[in-house]
Amino acid sequence: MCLAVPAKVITIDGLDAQVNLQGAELSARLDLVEGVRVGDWILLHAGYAIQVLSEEEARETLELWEELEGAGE
Amino acid sequence: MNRKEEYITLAHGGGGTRSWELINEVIIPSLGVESIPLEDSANLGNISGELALTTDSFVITPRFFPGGDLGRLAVIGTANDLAVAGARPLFLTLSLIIEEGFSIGELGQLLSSAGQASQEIGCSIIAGDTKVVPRGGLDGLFFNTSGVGEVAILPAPSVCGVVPGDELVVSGDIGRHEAAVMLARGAFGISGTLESDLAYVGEGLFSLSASGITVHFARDLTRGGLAMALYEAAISSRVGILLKEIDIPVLPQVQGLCSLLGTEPWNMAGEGTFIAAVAGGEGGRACDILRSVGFMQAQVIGVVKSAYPGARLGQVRMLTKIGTERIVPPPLGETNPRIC
Amino acid sequence: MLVNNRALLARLKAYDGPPARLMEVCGTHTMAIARYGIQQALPERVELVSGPGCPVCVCEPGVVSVAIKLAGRPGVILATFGDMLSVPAGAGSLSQTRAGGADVRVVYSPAQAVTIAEQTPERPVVFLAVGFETTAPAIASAVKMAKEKRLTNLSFLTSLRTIPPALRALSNDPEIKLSGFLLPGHVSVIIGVKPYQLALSDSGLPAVVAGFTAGDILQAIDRLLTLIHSRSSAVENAYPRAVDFMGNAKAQQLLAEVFVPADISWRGLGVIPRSGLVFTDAYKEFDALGKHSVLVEDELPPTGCRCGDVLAGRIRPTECALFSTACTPQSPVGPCMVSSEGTCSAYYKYGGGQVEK
Repeated sequence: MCLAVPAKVITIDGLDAQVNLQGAELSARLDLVEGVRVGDWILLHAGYAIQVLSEEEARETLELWEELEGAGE
Repeated sequence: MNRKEEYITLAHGGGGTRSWELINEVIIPSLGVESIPLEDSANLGNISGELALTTDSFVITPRFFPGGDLGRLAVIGTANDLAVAGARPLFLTLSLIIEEGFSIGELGQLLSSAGQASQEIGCSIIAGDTKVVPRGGLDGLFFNTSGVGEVAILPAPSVCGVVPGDELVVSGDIGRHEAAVMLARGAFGISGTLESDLAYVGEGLFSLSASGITVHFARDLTRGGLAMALYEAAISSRVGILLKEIDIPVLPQVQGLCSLLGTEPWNMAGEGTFIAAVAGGEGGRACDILRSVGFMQAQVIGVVKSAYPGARLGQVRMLTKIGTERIVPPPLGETNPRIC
Repeated sequence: MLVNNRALLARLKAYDGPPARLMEVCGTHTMAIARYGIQQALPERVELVSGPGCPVCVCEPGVVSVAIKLAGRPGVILATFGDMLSVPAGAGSLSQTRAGGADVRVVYSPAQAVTIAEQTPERPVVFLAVGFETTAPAIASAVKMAKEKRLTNLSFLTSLRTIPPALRALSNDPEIKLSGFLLPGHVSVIIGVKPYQLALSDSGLPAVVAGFTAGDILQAIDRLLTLIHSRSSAVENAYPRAVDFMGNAKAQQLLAEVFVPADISWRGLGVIPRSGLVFTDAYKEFDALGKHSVLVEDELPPTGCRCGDVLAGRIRPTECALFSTACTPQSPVGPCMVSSEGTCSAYYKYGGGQVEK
């Protein structure tokens, strides 16, 4: 149950945030992280942000780098 | 019928004058079908050739979703089942089970949508039934459609018709309908707007056949997704299937939702995407034909092999993006409820 | 940092160091390894073993039975993560209990349990709080929120465990011959890297913190094999994108405020000292056991169930006589099969990571 996914922070209201992953929007609590701003990426687990990520870190986790060489057969 | 009536009552399903009024003043006009004397059965006339028959019930929630609604789905879903069996849809039945208190306006909208879909496809809704259950007896409205079609692709595609060497062609990106409905429903607290892939696939199938491509097997990818459809073929035809992960088209929004939920796109339903098995070497041409009739993401995604050792009864595997080969687990059926 | 998969795969295949038995202790790693067919990218002399990394699997059945009992009490709302629904216990399962009419609600965040309690102040709400260190801070946060909101109708039935003590126990067990550990990336986001160094200092086994993409896992294994080959006892971080050496200080502080380590039993493994988290005195009022006057009772595993041996990496699922005969995902006997991240479930679905060609 280590499932945690990067998502981008869209709005912040106190310790409640709305985050977005590829168009899917959901809420996240910010009690476990510090200094989050709109536009940051966070690592989301069980409805809570557990880490702040740079955009590059988030994209690498989401494997949005097409430069990742897929192996051949 | 009192023009001010807003809600369905038990009397509307009672078989008496209220039912009569509902049929003649709401159902038939909304469907856009010709108003003719109603018999107890519809005469289909003289049809030569092989016929195909299918049925399906639709309990989707929400009833309106990006890309479609319950009415449109009820017609296209059944038409697609006929098309992947190689049959052109001719006639549909439409049965309604309605909860007391349901909005007549909404009912009319959904029926219009159904009528419109049937006209687009070129089939007729010619028989139906209406039942009303007391409030609480079901959630709103369920549809059932049965469809009769004329088999136009011979030999008809069959789940037993897959042979080693065949190539597997998918008509578009997978899992979109289920993802769209889940987002529309706000399931698991996740919301978003994604359009369902709801569409009639007949043109794709018949174009292949018209171009001389033999379709050994075809399935529209509904509940259980791509994985289930392929297992049906693998088990019935006693073959092995090897998919290539990097070739399977998936929208980023669908992939994102899968990451959030810890599932895979090949377990999720579409309602306008099909898989077809064609002879080895025909896959590329099949994709060209499909793209020429609007299936822009058509792709060869796998091949059929002889049954894998230790899995004589049929197994589906995947060549992962790192070049390893691993089993695709058959969906156990823990899918989301009421997505179609 | 981008990973060059092709070169990495070639290097892994060419590994010519000593035979290595690598254990992962995270259910999400179990699934990712199966899903990417990682075992096949490795030479025969490198074996991947699943450990007790599935919190659902190691939750004592007695706790599930208490949850079922509480759910059956008048007015109670039992909130739970979805993966606990089908876990079989002496009293049945939560999904059966729900089908029988009990108000069992699936939530995806502990904050939802707080919301439910706020919305229904007249009804007792119990949250079945199961997890490792990835989830425990979120639960701690929800508990603290409940205290701040003075929610007297909410309590938490906890079954929380920590990984480093389990690693210590496994690494010191002579029966389970391990060469090193793949460490759980998201647990490490919270606790950092240091606790593993302390836990493994006796055994001297090397370990590497791994992320969850195919590239992450391959890189971590590559690093671990390099450490094994050079007889190193180092603990390294191959997931620096998300894991800092010191971990998440804020989350750790919250954990320390609400919970304190205690001895706890792991299903099939017995008691591992100081491997559980229980309420501190300041938050004891939120313990469901005290609030509802129930005790967790020991339950014997079903006859023939070898989940314990599987969880400890002593046997493979196929060595359990019940595997895929009496025990399948559709009719699971033990938790390793029922949890979507359980070792037996992964084995069953993916054929043990090996395919005959």
